[in-house]
Amino acid sequence: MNHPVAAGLRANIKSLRRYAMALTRDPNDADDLVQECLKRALTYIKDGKDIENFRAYLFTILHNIHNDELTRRKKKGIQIPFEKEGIRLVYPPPQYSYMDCKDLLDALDKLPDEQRQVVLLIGLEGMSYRGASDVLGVPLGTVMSRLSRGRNALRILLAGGLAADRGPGAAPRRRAVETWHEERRTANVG
Amino acid sequence: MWGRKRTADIPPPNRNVDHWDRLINAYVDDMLTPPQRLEVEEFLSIHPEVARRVNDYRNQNRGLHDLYDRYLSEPLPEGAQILEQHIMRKLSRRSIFNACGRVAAAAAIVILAVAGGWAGAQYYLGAPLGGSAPLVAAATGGARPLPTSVARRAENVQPAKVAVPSPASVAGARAAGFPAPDLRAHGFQLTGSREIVKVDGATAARLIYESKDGSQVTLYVAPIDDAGTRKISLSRRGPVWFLLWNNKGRAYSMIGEIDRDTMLAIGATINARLSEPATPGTASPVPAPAPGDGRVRATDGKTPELNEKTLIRPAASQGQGEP
Repeated sequence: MNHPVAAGLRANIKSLRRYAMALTRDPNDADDLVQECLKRALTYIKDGKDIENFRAYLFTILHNIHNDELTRRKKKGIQIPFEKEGIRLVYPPPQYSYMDCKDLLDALDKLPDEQRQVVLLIGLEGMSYRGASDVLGVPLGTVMSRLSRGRNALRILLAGGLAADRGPGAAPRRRAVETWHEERRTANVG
Repeated sequence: MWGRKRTADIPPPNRNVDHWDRLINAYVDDMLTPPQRLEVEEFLSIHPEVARRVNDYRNQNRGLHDLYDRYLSEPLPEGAQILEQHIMRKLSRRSIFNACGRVAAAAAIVILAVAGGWAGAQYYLGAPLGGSAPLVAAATGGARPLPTSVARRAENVQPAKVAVPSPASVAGARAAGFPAPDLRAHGFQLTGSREIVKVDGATAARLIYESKDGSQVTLYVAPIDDAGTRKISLSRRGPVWFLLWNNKGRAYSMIGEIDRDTMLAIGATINARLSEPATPGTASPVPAPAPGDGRVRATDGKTPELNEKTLIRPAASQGQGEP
């Protein structure tokens, strides 16, 4: 006899891990986050409480923990361990060149946390605006506002904003993401 | 014109967000109604710069999936897997409990309805309350109910005897004429025992132990004719371990989602406990917990020791096959 939540549990956990990975960009941090979420969920269930929307519940916990961690780090000051930078190098993009993927990752890194969260929840996890609003605990209009700003910022960064960061004389990467997909389509046809 | 047909998820115009931005994002995320989509597409056809923006947004989404979708096909880390199993177990138990609750509620409603109807009928007919025999006879077509013992035999199962996990109950819990082994040294408490009447009329026993973290070990003990053989096998299917052995006219089957070493140690303790001479029907005191790895030395020099060396490993038991 399967509990309705149990049926999609594995898929929800994997989805949560994917999101944690995108949010933290660090496999260890992401796995710690996921594990902490599951621990809290288990405690909640053991207390006899019911969870109607397990996916939303897990993502909400993850956000709470992640935001607590961000606050803690802000107080402590920014620390970038060597391993974190190294991880970028050992993550080969599956389809595109290293530089193309790095642009998207760098652009995401430049977004404010709240915009990046919304872009990832909706663009990557396919969450509805209402769902994202529930998970983040902000009004629907705020979600829309952050999404719009986040996507626009990404677009500008990918279209050339990052060139400024690469130094004077660097060629702007106009419409970089679109170019990736065009190249991919061409490669598949060939 | 856009505001008139917005979906429930699209908020009203916000002075901080461009009106077009809201609709374009909702279009990219497929959250518009079909008429809204048509209107947006019409608009995009005459505004190529906006259409390019839509294309960029979609490419962003595709780029994110290309970057991160591989994590969906990766196995979960071990810690997450263990927690997932715990959650699954808890939810399954709750599901069974809820189903039983629904059945009990339905049964209670039926009983109340029948009793109420009967009482009402008796009241209006002027008959005194009490004396349910006619009602039972009418409901069963005049047939007499089966004797309780026959009914139990027909179900092959006797009523559950759930033991409270306290030292007294551990010492006193009995299944098929022997005291339940004490596994507290391994962190497991006896939470339930049940006598099972097999098809051939022999009595088997099922003992359920549970640890504080929710892990469960179930032990089945049944008498067998072949008292001379001694077979011990350990196998695994997924996360579940099976330890099977025969000793002194009893067959033991132990099932648990625990690690291999704990499984073996518990098996050794049980084997030693149930091999000790004990008079059936009398409660022997709970023996002292086995120290160390739980491998208990035979008390009479004849009890086979259950450990790594005595294990039989059939080919099927090495992997994920049936035990």
